[in-house]
Amino acid sequence: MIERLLKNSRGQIIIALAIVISVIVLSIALSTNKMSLQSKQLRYEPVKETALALTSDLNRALTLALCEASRKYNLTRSYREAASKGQDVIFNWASSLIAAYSHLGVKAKLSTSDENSSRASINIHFDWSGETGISYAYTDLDLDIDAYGFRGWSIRSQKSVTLKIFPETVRNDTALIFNLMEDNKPVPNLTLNLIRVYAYASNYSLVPSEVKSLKYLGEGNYTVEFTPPSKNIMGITILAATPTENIIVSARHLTNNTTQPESGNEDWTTLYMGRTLNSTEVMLLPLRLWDPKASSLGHGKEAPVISYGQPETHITSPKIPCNITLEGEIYVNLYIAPNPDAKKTRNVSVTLSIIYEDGASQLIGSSTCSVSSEGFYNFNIAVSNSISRIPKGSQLLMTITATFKKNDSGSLFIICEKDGNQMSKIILNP
Amino acid sequence: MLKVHSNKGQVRVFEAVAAATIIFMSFSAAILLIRPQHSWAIREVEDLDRLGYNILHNLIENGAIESILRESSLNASRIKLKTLLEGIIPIMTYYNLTIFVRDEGGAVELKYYVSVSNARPEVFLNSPEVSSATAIYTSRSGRIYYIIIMLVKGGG
Repeated sequence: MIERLLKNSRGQIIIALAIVISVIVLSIALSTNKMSLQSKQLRYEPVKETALALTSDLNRALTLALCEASRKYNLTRSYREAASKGQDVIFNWASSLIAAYSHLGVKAKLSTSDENSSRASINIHFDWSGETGISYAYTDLDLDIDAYGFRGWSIRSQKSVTLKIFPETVRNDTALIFNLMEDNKPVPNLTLNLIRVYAYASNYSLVPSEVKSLKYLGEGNYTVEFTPPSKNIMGITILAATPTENIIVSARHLTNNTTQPESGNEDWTTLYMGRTLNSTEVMLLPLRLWDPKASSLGHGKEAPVISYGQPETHITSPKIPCNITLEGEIYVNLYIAPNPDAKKTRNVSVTLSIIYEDGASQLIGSSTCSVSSEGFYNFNIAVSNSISRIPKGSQLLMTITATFKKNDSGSLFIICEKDGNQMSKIILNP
Repeated sequence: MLKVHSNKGQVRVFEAVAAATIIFMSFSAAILLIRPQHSWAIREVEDLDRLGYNILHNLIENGAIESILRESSLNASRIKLKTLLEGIIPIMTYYNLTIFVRDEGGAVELKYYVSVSNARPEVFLNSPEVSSATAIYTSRSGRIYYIIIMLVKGGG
């Protein structure tokens, strides 16, 4: 019986082999099938394209915001109105983004590191008071795209236009060389209709000058020739709009032979830190009373210092010869330089008060900013409801206080004028 | 004696046929499992997605969209856009590019602005491999546009 079975098992072995082969083939096929299903789950998703498209459009929106803000600033010289105009553009963009990409679950948060701004979606800065003028805006974007599981992406978008007058090239107050850069790249195609030159007459009023020619020298440098309204001018202001983006920037050069102007016509709504010809300490002064030659550290350079041993400094204005209306906010823009430049964060507070003629004082308001590195810091001080104006004959007192830890041996310099062109200032009526 | 041998032979033949059938069936099943379903469609959608994003990127970054949107009439915008797309998009590819604009009223709402296409709407409804790519565009005039391009491989 067993012998018979063994004899007949040859055919069964063939079937058994066929079954084994089938099992192997099917298991390989199943594995392959499973792999192909997994590859479907890992299919390409356009995360990179979507994120880059959003970033690219944020740059365009920021450029538009700076363009609108610079035009408003040029018309009104009001930081508040200019910043508001720029912020409106960015708010519109952010809301459109959410509406357009709602199907992807896009969440975008726009912010700045400026803790004081109530609508801190964008930071806009203009400094057109020196020989290097700047129009600058930035915003930080935090982006999540839920549909792609893409979260926590953060990027800074910024735009800047600078105009630099080279004072050594000013020839007989009829020609000078200036440099125009956009995002640190030369702007090569400026035309006559995009530039205005104004001269400071002897009474410091601004008078338009006729621009005779504009010649491109390369690397963003231009020679401009103009006809001043009179021979004895006190300085020059150049205003330019970039050809493609229409962002306006301006810079100013005051001649070295500027004499102390007659008092009575100063603009007391914007005060700068510096000295008059006769003052022994740093004061808050209108530009016309500020004398760049009367400084302790050379041309216009002053640097009140605060440290652990002396965490507070007081700077006062002379008696203000007119009433100044206060409304809403006062903008204080200070250039602060930590020394040594270690990355320590210190809270700096700026407090403004009025000292009345009878010696009594009243607090206007205060604002605090975290300072970790060298640069300009904005302190937007909300004016107390009980104050509507700074009366004639009173003084403005600015108190700058910093919080230092016990073992902190560093100090903070409050720089009055940076690189001969950008100045710390207080705008009382923005 | 002869009958026993012929029975044995028949059994062997039957066993061989059974073994062959098992192997044939397993191979058939394996082929069905190995052949990926619609992989061609997946690959084509991916390629078309990339193509769509590239087209939008090019239209936006080289300023073509800005100049098209500046056209005074919608018809001129449509003609310019169509001419441009016909030059960029590969042959035998159906496209539909639609631009929406943010309503400048108070509410955030996207309104239809302009659309160009080289195919009937059913092509995009019935095809298994429709690709779409989107972009948001802020123009220099301050208007915000939402652009969507749909692509389908034709001729298949």
